[in-house]
Amino acid sequence: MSPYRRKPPLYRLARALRWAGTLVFVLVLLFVATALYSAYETATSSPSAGSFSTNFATNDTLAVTGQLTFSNGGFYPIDGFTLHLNVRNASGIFIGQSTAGPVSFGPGASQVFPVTFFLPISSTGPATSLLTEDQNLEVGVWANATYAYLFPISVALNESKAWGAPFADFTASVGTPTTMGGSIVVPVTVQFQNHATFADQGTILFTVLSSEGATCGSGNLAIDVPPGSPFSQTTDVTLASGCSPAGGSLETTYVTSEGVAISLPTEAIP
Amino acid sequence: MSGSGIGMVGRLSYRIPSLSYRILVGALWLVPTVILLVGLPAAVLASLGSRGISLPFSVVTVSVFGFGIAVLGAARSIGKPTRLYGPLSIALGAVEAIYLLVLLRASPYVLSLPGTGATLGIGYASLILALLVVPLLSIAAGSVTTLEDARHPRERLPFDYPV
Repeated sequence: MSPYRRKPPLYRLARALRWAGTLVFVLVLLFVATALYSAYETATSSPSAGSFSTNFATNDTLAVTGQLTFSNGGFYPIDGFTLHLNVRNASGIFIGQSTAGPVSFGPGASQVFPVTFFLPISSTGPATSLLTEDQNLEVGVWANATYAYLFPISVALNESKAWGAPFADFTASVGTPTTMGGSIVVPVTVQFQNHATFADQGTILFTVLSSEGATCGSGNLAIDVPPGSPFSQTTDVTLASGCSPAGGSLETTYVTSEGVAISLPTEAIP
Repeated sequence: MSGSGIGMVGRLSYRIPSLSYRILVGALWLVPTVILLVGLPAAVLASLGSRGISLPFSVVTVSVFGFGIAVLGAARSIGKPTRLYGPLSIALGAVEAIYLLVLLRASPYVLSLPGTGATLGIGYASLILALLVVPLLSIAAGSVTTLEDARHPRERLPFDYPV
């Protein structure tokens, strides 16, 4: 072959560069097309939430537990998946959070995230008491991950959830003392409505205190209040000799059937 | 190296199409590229905008760059047998690179999903960086062609337009 028929080096170099550019472009386009289709498949295999349950926990908290399941229906991996949930009350006060991850799951895999919130129910905390007041809670969900190696994705969602208090409109009051068999007895009335999705089962312990803080008497009420039901009951408490409840207070504690003690609001005695 | 007709380099001959023929081919090439780079993206932007979904680039940006790339592509095709081919390839690659850098600045794109209160953020910077390889290779190829045309005028014509 004549040397004149051989393509010049610069010509071959320029041609190779153009072919390389075309090849890269086609490969990137193919990758994007498959990533889009894969993302669609993943999006259609939408996350599912298992049933959530609420229980009283120690330290005056409510434990909300459940699980979320995410499936990767596509054919690219999901890397560094992190899920963060936080709960604020209607005033915007932060009251609890739950974080899961980071985890990676490959094509066709599912990942179950256990979710647990510990929400303070104390009436002395910064937030409106979840124990005695119905309110709307703002649940914020934020998730991020890297999809198909190249695409960092984040999703943020805020949702308002109605909260029904397990001891809504709670009142505990002391009635007029009477003499009964040589002892002074006061009627103690406990009233509330269970607006929660779970039953109030256990015992309400109460203590009648004098204005100096001395214990004048105590008693208890067994309760089993289904969701949506009111409770109102009165029981007599025998006062200690010489102890006057006037100007004192009535302390109440709810002890669940599992033995967890929850402080209920203290009521002043006129 | 700027006209049309038959020529020879060494023992190799070539036949360059006439300018009017090249302009016709360039114009025909311009139609699909304008539709692909201007009409289609503008229609998608308008369609998404009417559904309350706004994208981080305007119709004007997409139209200006899309039209620029289409016109430069057609001009490069017309000027292929001339010394302008290399510089036009460089210019085309540069405009494509600038366009990609403009798109890169808008990453990550945060979309508010209408009626849900949810937001979706998508980062595509890595994809743009991968795509940037394409115009950079085009600029490199244009530079090599410019060098070749300067050193050895008409050297490539028998291979681009063999008889």
